[in-house]
Amino acid sequence: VGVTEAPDVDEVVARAQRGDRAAFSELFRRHRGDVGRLVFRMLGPTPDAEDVVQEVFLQVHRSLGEFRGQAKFTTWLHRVTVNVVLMVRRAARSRPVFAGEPVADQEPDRGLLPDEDAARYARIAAFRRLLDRLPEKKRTVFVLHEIEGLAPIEIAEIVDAPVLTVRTRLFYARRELAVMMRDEPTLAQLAEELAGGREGGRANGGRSAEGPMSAILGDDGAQASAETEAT
Amino acid sequence: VSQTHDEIRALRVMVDELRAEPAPELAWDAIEQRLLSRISSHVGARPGAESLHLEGAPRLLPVPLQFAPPPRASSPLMRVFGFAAAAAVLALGVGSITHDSEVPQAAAPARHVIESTAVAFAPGSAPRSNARDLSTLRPGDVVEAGDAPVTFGQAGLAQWTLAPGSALRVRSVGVGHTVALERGSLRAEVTPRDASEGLVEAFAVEVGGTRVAVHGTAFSVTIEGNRAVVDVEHGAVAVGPVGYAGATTGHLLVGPSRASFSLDGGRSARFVERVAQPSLVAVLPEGARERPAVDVDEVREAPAVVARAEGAVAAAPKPALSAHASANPAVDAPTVAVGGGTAPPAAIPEPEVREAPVVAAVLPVLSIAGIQGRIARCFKHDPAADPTAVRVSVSSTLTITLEADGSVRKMGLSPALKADVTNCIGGAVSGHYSGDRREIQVPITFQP
Repeated sequence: VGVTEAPDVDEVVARAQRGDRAAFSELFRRHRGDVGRLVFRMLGPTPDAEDVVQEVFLQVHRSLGEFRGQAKFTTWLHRVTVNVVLMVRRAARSRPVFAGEPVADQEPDRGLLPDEDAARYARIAAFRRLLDRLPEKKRTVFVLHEIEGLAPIEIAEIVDAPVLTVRTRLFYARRELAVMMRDEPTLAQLAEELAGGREGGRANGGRSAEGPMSAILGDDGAQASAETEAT
Repeated sequence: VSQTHDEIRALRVMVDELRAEPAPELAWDAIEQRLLSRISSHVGARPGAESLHLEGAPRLLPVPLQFAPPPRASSPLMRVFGFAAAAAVLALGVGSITHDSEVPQAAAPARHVIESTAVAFAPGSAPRSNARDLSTLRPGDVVEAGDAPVTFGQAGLAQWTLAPGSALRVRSVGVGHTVALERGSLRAEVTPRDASEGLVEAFAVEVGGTRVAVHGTAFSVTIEGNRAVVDVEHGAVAVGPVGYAGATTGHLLVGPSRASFSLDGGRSARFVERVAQPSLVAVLPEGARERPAVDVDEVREAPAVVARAEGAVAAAPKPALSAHASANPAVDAPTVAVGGGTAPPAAIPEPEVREAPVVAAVLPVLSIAGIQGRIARCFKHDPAADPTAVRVSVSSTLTITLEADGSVRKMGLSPALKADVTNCIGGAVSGHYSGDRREIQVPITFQP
C-alpha cells in the first residue's frame, strides 16, 4: 500500500511554499487520507486521531519551507507524521497514567458481532497491545514495513537510519512479537489452531507465508543478526 | 529464540488482519477548518512570520532597543515581566544604541552594536526588566555576550540568557524561535503554549547536529567539549537531530533532570547527576546580582554584540572586567581575555559529572492548593460568554499517590471526567514533589 503521488505534486508544494493557502489546502485534501491511515496504524483507535492529523499538517505548514525536494514529498510527509506520532506517544508516556482510566473511550463500540468477527477484533486488540510493548524504534519500522507496506530504503529515509539498521529493527521486531504472542492466550490459540490445520485456509488466504514475514530468520534476519543494536 | 512455523504463520495472519482494518473516517472538513484557523492565528500572531522560511539578506537597519510589550493578563509571570519592564523604562531610561564604527568593516560589512546592561535572572524568578526585545532579532543575527550575561525576552514566548563569553546565531524567530549555540552556555525560560495550539515547539536550541526543543519549560544548554549538556528545571524538552523543526524526536528529558548528549543528533545520551541548580546568577559579580534595577550608576556595562552581516563576523570587542567583579571573592569570575581576544566561554559552573540517577534540586510541595492552581488551566471560564450558552459544572475528586522519590505513582479521578480534561490534568500534575510516599485527595469544583 503505497502513497499515490500525483505528477503535479511538486508544483502544488512549490505554491504552498510560496504561501498559497489554496495550494496548502490542496495538499491537505490530497494527502489527508494517507496521514490519517498512518496515524491510525501507529496509534490504533484513539479519540485523539483528528487532533494528531491536524498537528501533522500544522507541522507540515511550519516546516514546508525546509522541504527542498531531496526526497519525495510523500516520504517527507511520512517522516513528519511519524515524528508527530512519536512525540504524541512520548508526551502520553511522560504523563502519569490515570488509574482506572476507562478503556471504553479507546475502543470503538462495534455493537453486536458474529462470533468470528468478535474473535478477530479480540485478536487485533491483543496484537495491538503487544505492538505497544515493542520498543519505539522497532515498532515504528514494523508498522511502516509490515502494515503500511513501505520498503526498507524508504523507511530508512523516514526514520533517518541506515537501511541495514532498519532491517535489523525489523528482524528483532518480528522475533520479539512472535515470542510475545506465545504468552498472549488469544494469539497463542491462533498458532495452535494453525498447527491443527483448523485455520489453515485463512492463513493461506492471506499473503503467502513465503513473504517477508517468513524471513523472520531468513534474508532480513541473516543480515540483521550480524548487527547488534541497542534499544 | 526460535520460532515455529506456526508462530510465523500466526504473526503473518495478524499482520494481514491489522492491514485489513479500515482506518476510521475522520471529520475532514472540520479538521481542515480548524487547521486553517490555527495557521491564520499563528501567522498573524508571530512577528516576522513571513520571513521564517524565506531568509533573505540580513537586515542592516539599526535595531531600536525595546522592552517587551505589556503581557496579557492571563499570565502572572508575564504580568510581573511587564510591570518590571515599565518600571525600568521609567526609572532608568537606559537603552542606547551605538552604531559601532570601530568594527573592522572588512571582516563584517555592517555591524550594529547594542550597548546596555544585562542581568541574569535566578531560576524560577520573574524575568528581569532589562531583557532586550527578542522580536528585534532576525534570522542570521549573531549575538555575543561580553563579560556579563545577556538576556533577550518576548512576552508570551520565551526569555533566554546567554552566559558571559557565549555566542549564538539566530536561526528563526517568532513561535518556533530557534537559535544555534556556537559556544558557551544558554539558559531559557519558555512560556508554555496554550493547549489549543497543539504540540508547538515554541523554542529550540541547536548545538552542532543536536536539537533541543521545548514546548514550555526552563532549561539550560551548555557546550562541553563535543557534547551538549541539557539541564531541565521543570517541564520537558525533546532532544534529537536537527532538521525536523517542529517535530523533534529522539530523547524526552523531563525535569528536573540533567543529561549529556553527543552533537550528532543525540545518538549518545546519558543522564548526569544534578547536584545543584545551575544558575547564571552564580557567574555574575555579587554587585550585579543583587543590585536593584533603579541603581543606574552602579550598573556594570556589559555590552552584548548583535551582528548582522553575511559571512564572517569579527570578534566582538570585550570590555575589561570591572574591579568590582574581579574582586568578588564569593563568585568565581569567568575567565575572559581582556581586550577583545578569543575569550573562552564562561560556562555555567557544572557539578561533577558522573553517571548517576537524577537528583532533584528544588521540588514543589504537594498541596491541595498547589494542585488546584496547577489544574486550573484545564477548565475554561469565559465570563463574557453568551449567558444563554450551555455551561458545564465540574465536581470531582483527584487522588494523587506519590512514590518514595516524590514522583507521581498514580492518579485517579472520581467521578471520571472527559478524556481531554483528564489528559490535561495528568499533564499539569505530572512531575516530582518534595516529600516521600503519600497520598492526597484534591477536591475539584468548577463553576463557570
